[in-house]
Amino acid sequence: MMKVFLAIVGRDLRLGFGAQGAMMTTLLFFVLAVSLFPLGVGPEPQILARIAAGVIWVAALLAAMLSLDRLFQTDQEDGTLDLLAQAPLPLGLVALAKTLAHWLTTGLPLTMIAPLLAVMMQMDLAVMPVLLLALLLGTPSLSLIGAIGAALTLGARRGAVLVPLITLPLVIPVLIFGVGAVEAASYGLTASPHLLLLGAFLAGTLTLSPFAIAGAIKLALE
Amino acid sequence: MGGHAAFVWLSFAVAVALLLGLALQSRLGMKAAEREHAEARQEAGRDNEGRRGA
Amino acid sequence: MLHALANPARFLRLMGAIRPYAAAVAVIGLVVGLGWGLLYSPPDYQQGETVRIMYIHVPAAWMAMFIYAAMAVASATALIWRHPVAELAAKASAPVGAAFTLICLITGSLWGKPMWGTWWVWDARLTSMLILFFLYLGYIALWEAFDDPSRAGRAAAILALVGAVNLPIIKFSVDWWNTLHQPASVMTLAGPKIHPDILWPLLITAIGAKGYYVWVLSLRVRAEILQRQARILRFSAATDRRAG
Repeated sequence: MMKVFLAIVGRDLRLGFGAQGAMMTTLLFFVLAVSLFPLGVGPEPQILARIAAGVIWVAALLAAMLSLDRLFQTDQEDGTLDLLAQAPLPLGLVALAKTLAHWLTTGLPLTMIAPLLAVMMQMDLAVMPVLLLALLLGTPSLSLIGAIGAALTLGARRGAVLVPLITLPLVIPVLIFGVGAVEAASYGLTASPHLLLLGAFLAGTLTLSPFAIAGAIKLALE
Repeated sequence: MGGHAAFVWLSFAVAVALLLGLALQSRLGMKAAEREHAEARQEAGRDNEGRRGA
Repeated sequence: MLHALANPARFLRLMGAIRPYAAAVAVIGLVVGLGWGLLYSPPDYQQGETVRIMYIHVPAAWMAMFIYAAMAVASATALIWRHPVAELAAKASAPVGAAFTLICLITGSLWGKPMWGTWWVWDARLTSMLILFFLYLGYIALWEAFDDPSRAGRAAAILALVGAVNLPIIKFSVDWWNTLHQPASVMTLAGPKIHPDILWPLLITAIGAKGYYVWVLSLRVRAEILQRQARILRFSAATDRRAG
Protein backbone atom coordinates (compact mmCIF):
# COMPACT_ATOMS: atom_id res chain seq x y z
CA MET A 1 0.00 0.00 0.00
CA MET A 2 2.81 2.39 0.92
CA LYS A 3 4.51 1.46 -2.34
CA VAL A 4 1.48 2.42 -4.40
CA PHE A 5 1.16 5.66 -2.43
CA LEU A 6 4.79 6.56 -3.08
CA ALA A 7 4.48 5.55 -6.74
CA ILE A 8 1.61 8.03 -7.21
CA VAL A 9 3.56 10.76 -5.41
CA GLY A 10 6.63 10.00 -7.53
CA ARG A 11 4.69 10.08 -10.77
CA ASP A 12 3.07 13.41 -9.98
CA LEU A 13 6.41 14.84 -8.87
CA ARG A 14 8.04 13.84 -12.17
CA LEU A 15 5.15 15.49 -14.02
CA GLY A 16 5.29 18.52 -11.75
CA PHE A 17 9.01 19.13 -12.10
CA GLY A 18 9.02 18.40 -15.81
CA ALA A 19 8.55 20.80 -18.66
CA GLN A 20 4.76 20.46 -18.41
CA GLY A 21 4.79 21.12 -14.69
CA ALA A 22 3.45 24.28 -13.15
CA MET A 23 6.12 24.52 -10.45
CA MET A 24 8.27 27.21 -12.05
CA THR A 25 5.22 29.20 -13.17
CA THR A 26 3.80 29.12 -9.65
CA LEU A 27 7.06 30.30 -8.12
CA LEU A 28 7.45 33.04 -10.68
CA PHE A 29 3.90 34.23 -10.03
CA PHE A 30 4.59 34.28 -6.28
CA VAL A 31 7.75 36.40 -6.68
CA LEU A 32 6.10 38.67 -9.21
CA ALA A 33 2.98 39.22 -7.11
CA VAL A 34 5.04 40.18 -4.04
CA SER A 35 7.29 42.47 -6.11
CA LEU A 36 4.25 44.42 -7.27
CA PHE A 37 3.49 45.65 -3.76
CA PRO A 38 6.48 47.98 -3.32
CA LEU A 39 5.59 49.40 -6.72
CA GLY A 40 2.00 49.81 -5.63
CA VAL A 41 2.37 51.19 -2.12
CA GLY A 42 5.79 52.84 -2.40
CA PRO A 43 9.24 51.77 -1.26
CA GLU A 44 9.23 53.19 2.31
CA PRO A 45 10.89 50.50 4.45
CA GLN A 46 8.55 51.01 7.44
CA ILE A 47 5.41 50.53 5.37
CA LEU A 48 6.87 47.49 3.60
CA ALA A 49 7.98 45.93 6.87
CA ARG A 50 4.51 46.51 8.31
CA ILE A 51 2.70 44.76 5.46
CA ALA A 52 5.39 42.17 4.61
CA ALA A 53 3.83 39.20 6.40
CA GLY A 54 0.37 39.86 5.01
CA VAL A 55 1.61 40.38 1.46
CA ILE A 56 3.70 37.22 1.45
CA TRP A 57 0.82 35.17 2.84
CA VAL A 58 -1.77 36.54 0.46
CA ALA A 59 0.56 35.98 -2.49
CA ALA A 60 1.19 32.42 -1.30
CA LEU A 61 -2.57 31.80 -1.07
CA LEU A 62 -3.10 33.04 -4.61
CA ALA A 63 -0.07 31.18 -5.99
CA ALA A 64 -1.28 27.93 -4.44
CA MET A 65 -4.60 28.34 -6.31
CA LEU A 66 -2.89 28.66 -9.70
CA SER A 67 -2.15 25.06 -10.57
CA LEU A 68 -5.07 23.56 -8.64
CA ASP A 69 -7.52 23.27 -11.51
CA ARG A 70 -5.11 20.90 -13.29
CA LEU A 71 -4.61 18.73 -10.19
CA PHE A 72 -7.15 16.07 -11.18
CA GLN A 73 -8.32 17.37 -14.53
CA THR A 74 -5.45 16.14 -16.71
CA ASP A 75 -5.73 12.73 -15.06
CA GLN A 76 -9.44 12.67 -15.72
CA GLU A 77 -9.01 13.66 -19.35
CA ASP A 78 -6.50 10.93 -20.20
CA GLY A 79 -8.29 8.29 -18.11
CA THR A 80 -5.57 7.95 -15.47
CA LEU A 81 -8.05 8.89 -12.76
CA ASP A 82 -10.23 5.86 -13.60
CA LEU A 83 -7.18 3.63 -13.22
CA LEU A 84 -6.16 5.33 -9.97
CA ALA A 85 -9.66 4.80 -8.61
CA GLN A 86 -9.14 1.06 -9.13
CA ALA A 87 -5.68 1.07 -7.53
CA PRO A 88 -5.22 -1.21 -4.52
CA LEU A 89 -5.46 1.87 -2.33
CA PRO A 90 -8.51 3.67 -0.87
CA LEU A 91 -9.44 6.65 -3.02
CA GLY A 92 -8.87 8.97 -0.06
CA LEU A 93 -5.23 7.89 0.09
CA VAL A 94 -4.84 8.30 -3.68
CA ALA A 95 -6.15 11.83 -3.22
CA LEU A 96 -3.76 12.36 -0.33
CA ALA A 97 -0.82 11.18 -2.46
CA LYS A 98 -1.72 13.58 -5.26
CA THR A 99 -2.21 16.41 -2.76
CA LEU A 100 1.17 15.67 -1.20
CA ALA A 101 2.77 15.89 -4.63
CA HIS A 102 0.95 19.19 -5.19
CA TRP A 103 2.32 20.55 -1.93
CA LEU A 104 5.84 19.35 -2.75
CA THR A 105 5.69 21.23 -6.06
CA THR A 106 3.97 24.40 -4.79
CA GLY A 107 3.81 24.88 -1.01
CA LEU A 108 7.32 23.70 -0.28
CA PRO A 109 9.06 25.74 -3.02
CA LEU A 110 6.99 28.78 -1.99
CA THR A 111 8.22 28.34 1.57
CA MET A 112 11.81 27.99 0.45
CA ILE A 113 11.78 31.14 -1.65
CA ALA A 114 9.86 33.16 0.97
CA PRO A 115 12.99 34.32 2.89
CA LEU A 116 14.23 36.05 -0.25
CA LEU A 117 10.95 37.91 -0.58
CA ALA A 118 10.95 38.67 3.15
CA VAL A 119 14.32 40.39 2.73
CA MET A 120 13.00 42.36 -0.23
CA MET A 121 9.99 43.39 1.87
CA GLN A 122 12.31 44.64 4.69
CA MET A 123 11.08 42.03 7.13
CA ASP A 124 12.99 41.74 10.38
CA LEU A 125 15.43 38.84 9.94
CA ALA A 126 14.79 37.66 13.51
CA VAL A 127 11.22 36.62 12.64
CA MET A 128 12.29 34.61 9.58
CA PRO A 129 12.19 31.22 11.37
CA VAL A 130 8.62 31.93 12.48
CA LEU A 131 7.62 32.85 8.91
CA LEU A 132 9.15 29.63 7.59
CA LEU A 133 7.54 27.49 10.27
CA ALA A 134 4.16 29.14 9.71
CA LEU A 135 4.40 28.59 5.95
CA LEU A 136 5.46 24.97 6.49
CA LEU A 137 2.42 24.38 8.72
CA GLY A 138 -0.01 26.45 6.67
CA THR A 139 0.68 25.63 3.03
CA PRO A 140 -0.26 21.90 3.32
CA SER A 141 -3.73 23.04 4.45
CA LEU A 142 -3.93 25.19 1.33
CA SER A 143 -3.15 22.18 -0.86
CA LEU A 144 -5.63 19.96 0.99
CA ILE A 145 -8.57 22.38 0.90
CA GLY A 146 -7.61 23.40 -2.62
CA ALA A 147 -7.75 19.77 -3.68
CA ILE A 148 -11.36 19.61 -2.47
CA GLY A 149 -12.17 22.57 -4.70
CA ALA A 150 -10.26 21.01 -7.61
CA ALA A 151 -12.11 17.70 -7.26
CA LEU A 152 -15.52 19.37 -6.90
CA THR A 153 -15.09 21.41 -10.08
CA LEU A 154 -13.94 18.45 -12.23
CA GLY A 155 -15.80 18.77 -15.51
CA ALA A 156 -17.34 22.11 -14.55
CA ARG A 157 -17.55 25.08 -16.84
CA ARG A 158 -15.02 27.80 -15.93
CA GLY A 159 -13.36 25.42 -13.49
CA ALA A 160 -10.14 27.43 -13.38
CA VAL A 161 -11.93 30.50 -12.01
CA LEU A 162 -14.32 28.52 -9.86
CA VAL A 163 -11.60 26.79 -7.80
CA PRO A 164 -10.24 29.98 -6.18
CA LEU A 165 -13.78 31.29 -5.77
CA ILE A 166 -14.91 28.36 -3.65
CA THR A 167 -11.53 27.65 -2.00
CA LEU A 168 -10.23 31.06 -0.89
CA PRO A 169 -13.00 31.79 1.66
CA LEU A 170 -12.31 28.40 3.24
CA VAL A 171 -8.59 29.04 3.78
CA ILE A 172 -9.02 32.40 5.53
CA PRO A 173 -8.12 30.87 8.94
CA VAL A 174 -4.72 29.85 7.51
CA LEU A 175 -4.12 33.43 6.40
CA ILE A 176 -5.16 34.88 9.76
CA PHE A 177 -3.12 32.52 11.92
CA GLY A 178 -0.15 32.56 9.52
CA VAL A 179 0.10 36.34 9.49
CA GLY A 180 -0.68 36.46 13.20
CA ALA A 181 2.30 34.22 14.00
CA VAL A 182 4.73 36.48 12.13
CA GLU A 183 3.26 39.67 13.57
CA ALA A 184 3.33 38.30 17.13
CA ALA A 185 7.01 37.41 16.66
CA SER A 186 7.79 40.84 15.25
CA TYR A 187 6.22 42.48 18.33
CA GLY A 188 8.45 40.28 20.48
CA LEU A 189 5.55 38.10 21.65
CA THR A 190 5.40 34.35 21.48
CA ALA A 191 4.14 32.96 18.18
CA SER A 192 3.33 29.54 19.56
CA PRO A 193 -0.47 29.99 19.97
CA HIS A 194 -0.74 30.92 16.29
CA LEU A 195 1.54 28.09 15.22
CA LEU A 196 -0.41 25.63 17.37
CA LEU A 197 -3.66 26.80 15.77
CA LEU A 198 -2.11 26.40 12.31
CA GLY A 199 -1.02 22.90 13.29
CA ALA A 200 -4.47 22.07 14.64
CA PHE A 201 -6.06 23.32 11.43
CA LEU A 202 -3.66 21.16 9.42
CA ALA A 203 -4.47 18.12 11.56
CA GLY A 204 -8.16 18.73 10.94
CA THR A 205 -7.87 19.18 7.19
CA LEU A 206 -5.48 16.23 6.94
CA THR A 207 -8.02 13.87 8.50
CA LEU A 208 -11.23 15.25 6.97
CA SER A 209 -10.38 16.49 3.49
CA PRO A 210 -9.40 13.06 2.01
CA PHE A 211 -13.03 11.99 2.52
CA ALA A 212 -14.35 15.10 0.78
CA ILE A 213 -11.85 14.77 -2.09
CA ALA A 214 -12.59 11.07 -2.53
CA GLY A 215 -16.34 11.75 -2.53
CA ALA A 216 -15.95 14.48 -5.11
CA ILE A 217 -13.73 12.32 -7.36
CA LYS A 218 -16.25 9.47 -7.20
CA LEU A 219 -18.94 11.88 -8.36
CA ALA A 220 -16.83 12.99 -11.29
CA LEU A 221 -16.08 9.44 -12.38
CA GLU A 222 -19.70 8.26 -12.40
CA MET B 1 -36.25 60.56 15.29
CA GLY B 2 -32.86 62.13 15.83
CA GLY B 3 -30.36 63.35 13.31
CA HIS B 4 -29.62 59.93 11.91
CA ALA B 5 -33.18 58.93 11.10
CA ALA B 6 -32.34 58.73 7.40
CA PHE B 7 -29.96 55.83 8.04
CA VAL B 8 -32.63 53.96 9.99
CA TRP B 9 -35.30 54.45 7.34
CA LEU B 10 -32.88 53.56 4.57
CA SER B 11 -31.90 50.33 6.36
CA PHE B 12 -35.52 49.30 6.76
CA ALA B 13 -36.29 50.23 3.16
CA VAL B 14 -33.35 48.24 1.79
CA ALA B 15 -34.28 45.17 3.83
CA VAL B 16 -37.96 45.30 2.86
CA ALA B 17 -37.11 45.90 -0.80
CA LEU B 18 -34.67 42.97 -0.93
CA LEU B 19 -37.04 40.58 0.85
CA LEU B 20 -40.03 41.59 -1.27
CA GLY B 21 -37.93 41.38 -4.43
CA LEU B 22 -36.73 37.88 -3.64
CA ALA B 23 -40.24 36.73 -2.73
CA LEU B 24 -41.62 38.17 -5.96
CA GLN B 25 -38.84 36.63 -8.03
CA SER B 26 -39.47 33.24 -6.38
CA ARG B 27 -43.20 33.50 -7.02
CA LEU B 28 -42.70 34.46 -10.67
CA GLY B 29 -40.21 31.61 -11.03
CA MET B 30 -42.75 29.19 -9.62
CA LYS B 31 -45.49 30.44 -11.96
CA ALA B 32 -43.13 30.07 -14.92
CA ALA B 33 -42.23 26.54 -13.81
CA GLU B 34 -45.93 25.69 -13.48
CA ARG B 35 -46.57 26.91 -17.04
CA GLU B 36 -43.58 25.00 -18.37
CA HIS B 37 -44.72 21.87 -16.56
CA ALA B 38 -48.26 22.15 -17.94
CA GLU B 39 -46.91 22.66 -21.46
CA ALA B 40 -44.58 19.68 -21.24
CA ARG B 41 -47.45 17.59 -19.95
CA GLN B 42 -49.70 18.65 -22.79
CA GLU B 43 -47.02 17.91 -25.37
CA ALA B 44 -46.43 14.47 -23.89
CA GLY B 45 -50.17 13.82 -23.88
CA ARG B 46 -50.51 14.90 -27.51
CA ASP B 47 -47.65 12.64 -28.50
CA ASN B 48 -49.24 9.68 -26.82
CA GLU B 49 -52.59 10.34 -28.49
CA GLY B 50 -50.89 10.76 -31.84
CA ARG B 51 -49.25 7.38 -31.46
CA ARG B 52 -52.46 5.74 -30.37
CA GLY B 53 -54.23 7.20 -33.38
CA ALA B 54 -51.57 5.82 -35.73
CA MET C 1 -40.89 11.08 8.01
CA LEU C 2 -37.75 11.60 5.99
CA HIS C 3 -38.75 8.83 3.66
CA ALA C 4 -42.21 10.26 3.16
CA LEU C 5 -40.72 13.60 2.19
CA ALA C 6 -38.56 12.00 -0.48
CA ASN C 7 -41.61 11.60 -2.67
CA PRO C 8 -41.74 14.89 -4.62
CA ALA C 9 -45.52 14.77 -5.09
CA ARG C 10 -46.15 14.32 -1.38
CA PHE C 11 -43.58 17.00 -0.58
CA LEU C 12 -45.35 19.40 -2.95
CA ARG C 13 -48.70 18.71 -1.27
CA LEU C 14 -47.20 19.27 2.18
CA MET C 15 -45.49 22.46 1.05
CA GLY C 16 -48.74 23.68 -0.49
CA ALA C 17 -50.52 23.11 2.81
CA ILE C 18 -47.82 24.89 4.83
CA ARG C 19 -47.33 27.82 2.46
CA PRO C 20 -50.25 30.08 3.52
CA TYR C 21 -49.36 29.70 7.20
CA ALA C 22 -45.69 30.45 6.53
CA ALA C 23 -46.67 33.53 4.53
CA ALA C 24 -48.95 34.68 7.35
CA VAL C 25 -46.20 34.18 9.95
CA ALA C 26 -43.78 36.06 7.70
CA VAL C 27 -46.03 39.06 7.12
CA ILE C 28 -47.32 39.34 10.69
CA GLY C 29 -43.91 38.67 12.29
CA LEU C 30 -41.98 41.06 10.08
CA VAL C 31 -44.57 43.86 10.24
CA VAL C 32 -45.06 43.60 14.02
CA GLY C 33 -41.38 43.03 14.87
CA LEU C 34 -39.94 45.65 12.54
CA GLY C 35 -42.73 48.13 13.31
CA TRP C 36 -42.19 47.70 17.04
CA GLY C 37 -38.45 48.10 16.65
CA LEU C 38 -38.81 51.08 14.36
CA LEU C 39 -41.48 53.02 16.22
CA TYR C 40 -41.96 51.85 19.79
CA SER C 41 -38.62 50.61 21.09
CA PRO C 42 -36.53 52.84 23.35
CA PRO C 43 -33.60 54.71 21.78
CA ASP C 44 -30.15 53.85 23.12
CA TYR C 45 -28.54 56.34 25.52
CA GLN C 46 -25.24 56.06 23.60
CA GLN C 47 -26.24 55.53 19.98
CA GLY C 48 -29.61 57.29 19.98
CA GLU C 49 -32.04 56.36 17.24
CA THR C 50 -29.40 54.61 15.16
CA VAL C 51 -29.70 51.57 17.38
CA ARG C 52 -32.99 50.74 15.62
CA ILE C 53 -30.97 49.42 12.68
CA MET C 54 -30.17 46.54 15.01
CA TYR C 55 -33.75 45.26 14.60
CA ILE C 56 -32.92 44.31 11.01
CA HIS C 57 -29.19 43.78 11.26
CA VAL C 58 -29.20 41.23 14.08
CA PRO C 59 -32.10 39.04 12.86
CA ALA C 60 -30.58 39.12 9.36
CA ALA C 61 -27.28 37.87 10.79
CA TRP C 62 -29.11 35.12 12.69
CA MET C 63 -30.99 34.08 9.55
CA ALA C 64 -27.83 34.10 7.43
CA MET C 65 -26.21 31.56 9.76
CA PHE C 66 -29.41 29.60 10.38
CA ILE C 67 -30.00 29.14 6.65
CA TYR C 68 -26.41 28.01 6.07
CA ALA C 69 -26.88 25.44 8.83
CA ALA C 70 -30.19 24.34 7.28
CA MET C 71 -28.45 24.07 3.90
CA ALA C 72 -25.76 21.89 5.44
CA VAL C 73 -28.34 19.59 7.07
CA ALA C 74 -30.25 19.33 3.79
CA SER C 75 -26.99 18.61 1.94
CA ALA C 76 -26.03 15.87 4.40
CA THR C 77 -29.50 14.35 3.98
CA ALA C 78 -29.12 14.52 0.21
CA LEU C 79 -25.70 12.85 0.28
CA ILE C 80 -26.41 10.12 2.83
CA TRP C 81 -29.92 9.07 1.78
CA ARG C 82 -29.80 10.25 -1.84
CA HIS C 83 -32.82 12.35 -0.91
CA PRO C 84 -33.77 14.22 -4.11
CA VAL C 85 -35.95 16.85 -2.46
CA ALA C 86 -33.33 17.69 0.18
CA GLU C 87 -30.90 18.53 -2.60
CA LEU C 88 -33.38 20.96 -4.14
CA ALA C 89 -34.17 22.42 -0.70
CA ALA C 90 -30.47 23.15 -0.21
CA LYS C 91 -30.29 24.76 -3.65
CA ALA C 92 -33.40 26.86 -2.98
CA SER C 93 -32.06 27.97 0.41
CA ALA C 94 -28.89 29.54 -0.94
CA PRO C 95 -30.40 32.68 -2.54
CA VAL C 96 -32.51 33.32 0.58
CA GLY C 97 -29.44 33.00 2.81
CA ALA C 98 -27.43 35.21 0.49
CA ALA C 99 -30.21 37.83 0.58
CA PHE C 100 -30.20 37.90 4.39
CA THR C 101 -26.39 38.10 4.40
CA LEU C 102 -26.56 41.02 1.99
CA ILE C 103 -29.15 42.75 4.19
CA CYS C 104 -26.87 42.24 7.18
CA LEU C 105 -23.93 43.75 5.27
CA ILE C 106 -25.86 46.74 3.94
CA THR C 107 -27.49 47.57 7.27
CA GLY C 108 -24.11 47.12 8.98
CA SER C 109 -22.66 49.63 6.59
CA LEU C 110 -25.56 52.03 7.17
CA TRP C 111 -25.13 51.58 10.92
CA GLY C 112 -21.38 52.15 10.69
CA LYS C 113 -21.65 55.52 8.98
CA PRO C 114 -23.27 57.43 11.86
CA MET C 115 -21.44 55.35 14.50
CA TRP C 116 -17.90 55.39 13.18
CA GLY C 117 -18.11 57.95 10.42
CA THR C 118 -17.24 55.45 7.70
CA TRP C 119 -19.29 53.20 5.45
CA TRP C 120 -17.23 50.13 6.17
CA VAL C 121 -15.43 48.94 9.27
CA TRP C 122 -13.71 45.57 9.56
CA ASP C 123 -15.84 44.72 12.55
CA ALA C 124 -15.81 41.05 13.58
CA ARG C 125 -19.44 40.41 12.65
CA LEU C 126 -19.36 42.33 9.38
CA THR C 127 -16.18 40.52 8.35
CA SER C 128 -17.54 37.04 9.07
CA MET C 129 -20.78 37.99 7.28
CA LEU C 130 -18.74 39.07 4.26
CA ILE C 131 -16.98 35.69 4.22
CA LEU C 132 -20.34 33.94 4.63
CA PHE C 133 -21.60 35.92 1.64
CA PHE C 134 -18.64 34.63 -0.41
CA LEU C 135 -19.44 31.07 0.72
CA TYR C 136 -23.05 31.47 -0.45
CA LEU C 137 -21.93 32.89 -3.79
CA GLY C 138 -19.40 30.08 -4.28
CA TYR C 139 -22.12 27.51 -3.54
CA ILE C 140 -24.49 29.11 -6.05
CA ALA C 141 -21.69 29.36 -8.64
CA LEU C 142 -20.89 25.66 -8.25
CA TRP C 143 -24.55 24.76 -8.87
CA GLU C 144 -24.52 26.84 -12.03
CA ALA C 145 -21.26 25.39 -13.34
CA PHE C 146 -22.55 21.96 -14.38
CA ASP C 147 -24.90 20.90 -17.15
CA ASP C 148 -25.90 17.74 -15.31
CA PRO C 149 -28.13 18.70 -12.34
CA SER C 150 -27.45 15.52 -10.36
CA ARG C 151 -23.69 16.04 -10.61
CA ALA C 152 -24.08 19.70 -9.66
CA GLY C 153 -26.32 18.87 -6.74
CA ARG C 154 -23.98 16.41 -5.14
CA ALA C 155 -20.84 18.49 -5.70
CA ALA C 156 -22.63 21.47 -4.16
CA ALA C 157 -23.74 19.30 -1.24
CA ILE C 158 -20.13 18.34 -0.50
CA LEU C 159 -19.13 22.00 -0.70
CA ALA C 160 -21.91 23.00 1.70
CA LEU C 161 -20.74 20.37 4.20
CA VAL C 162 -17.09 21.41 3.93
CA GLY C 163 -18.19 25.02 4.41
CA ALA C 164 -20.31 24.12 7.43
CA VAL C 165 -17.39 22.31 9.10
CA ASN C 166 -15.12 25.25 8.35
CA LEU C 167 -17.51 28.05 9.27
CA PRO C 168 -17.03 27.89 13.08
CA ILE C 169 -13.26 27.91 12.53
CA ILE C 170 -13.54 30.91 10.21
CA LYS C 171 -15.72 32.68 12.78
CA PHE C 172 -13.22 31.92 15.54
CA SER C 173 -10.26 33.06 13.45
CA VAL C 174 -12.01 36.31 12.47
CA ASP C 175 -12.86 37.07 16.12
CA TRP C 176 -9.24 36.32 17.03
CA TRP C 177 -7.99 38.57 14.23
CA ASN C 178 -10.37 41.30 15.32
CA THR C 179 -9.16 41.31 18.92
CA LEU C 180 -5.53 41.41 17.75
CA HIS C 181 -6.20 44.47 15.62
CA GLN C 182 -8.13 46.37 18.27
CA PRO C 183 -10.56 48.64 16.43
CA ALA C 184 -10.35 52.38 17.03
CA SER C 185 -13.77 52.49 18.63
CA VAL C 186 -14.80 50.42 21.62
CA MET C 187 -18.35 50.25 20.29
CA THR C 188 -19.20 47.18 18.28
CA LEU C 189 -22.24 46.19 16.29
CA ALA C 190 -23.35 44.00 19.17
CA GLY C 191 -25.81 46.59 20.34
CA PRO C 192 -26.44 47.48 23.96
CA LYS C 193 -27.21 45.01 26.73
CA ILE C 194 -30.21 42.88 25.92
CA HIS C 195 -33.26 44.36 27.62
CA PRO C 196 -36.78 42.89 27.34
CA ASP C 197 -37.94 45.96 25.42
CA ILE C 198 -35.28 45.12 22.85
CA LEU C 199 -35.56 41.36 22.98
CA TRP C 200 -39.26 41.12 22.08
CA PRO C 201 -39.16 42.96 18.76
CA LEU C 202 -35.94 41.10 17.92
CA LEU C 203 -37.53 37.72 18.60
CA ILE C 204 -40.75 38.54 16.74
CA THR C 205 -38.74 39.74 13.73
CA ALA C 206 -36.66 36.56 13.86
CA ILE C 207 -39.81 34.39 13.87
CA GLY C 208 -41.21 36.41 10.98
CA ALA C 209 -37.94 35.93 9.09
CA LYS C 210 -38.12 32.16 9.67
CA GLY C 211 -41.67 32.19 8.28
CA TYR C 212 -40.42 34.15 5.29
CA TYR C 213 -37.68 31.57 4.73
CA VAL C 214 -40.16 28.66 4.79
CA TRP C 215 -42.53 30.53 2.49
CA VAL C 216 -39.92 31.45 -0.13
CA LEU C 217 -38.31 28.01 0.20
CA SER C 218 -41.64 26.32 -0.58
CA LEU C 219 -42.07 28.53 -3.66
CA ARG C 220 -38.56 27.85 -4.94
CA VAL C 221 -38.57 24.11 -4.23
CA ARG C 222 -41.90 23.79 -6.02
CA ALA C 223 -40.41 25.62 -9.01
CA GLU C 224 -37.36 23.34 -9.01
CA ILE C 225 -39.42 20.14 -8.79
CA LEU C 226 -41.79 21.23 -11.57
CA GLN C 227 -38.90 22.27 -13.79
CA ARG C 228 -37.21 18.94 -13.27
CA GLN C 229 -40.40 17.03 -14.02
CA ALA C 230 -41.00 19.12 -17.13
CA ARG C 231 -37.49 18.33 -18.33
CA ILE C 232 -38.05 14.61 -17.77
CA LEU C 233 -41.43 14.75 -19.58
CA ARG C 234 -39.88 16.54 -22.57
CA PHE C 235 -36.93 14.17 -22.62
CA SER C 236 -39.05 11.02 -22.53
CA ALA C 237 -41.43 12.48 -25.13
CA ALA C 238 -38.46 13.12 -27.41
CA THR C 239 -37.12 9.59 -27.01
CA ASP C 240 -40.62 8.18 -27.56
CA ARG C 241 -40.89 10.11 -30.80
CA ARG C 242 -37.54 8.80 -31.93
CA ALA C 243 -38.52 5.24 -30.98
CA GLY C 244 -41.97 5.45 -32.54
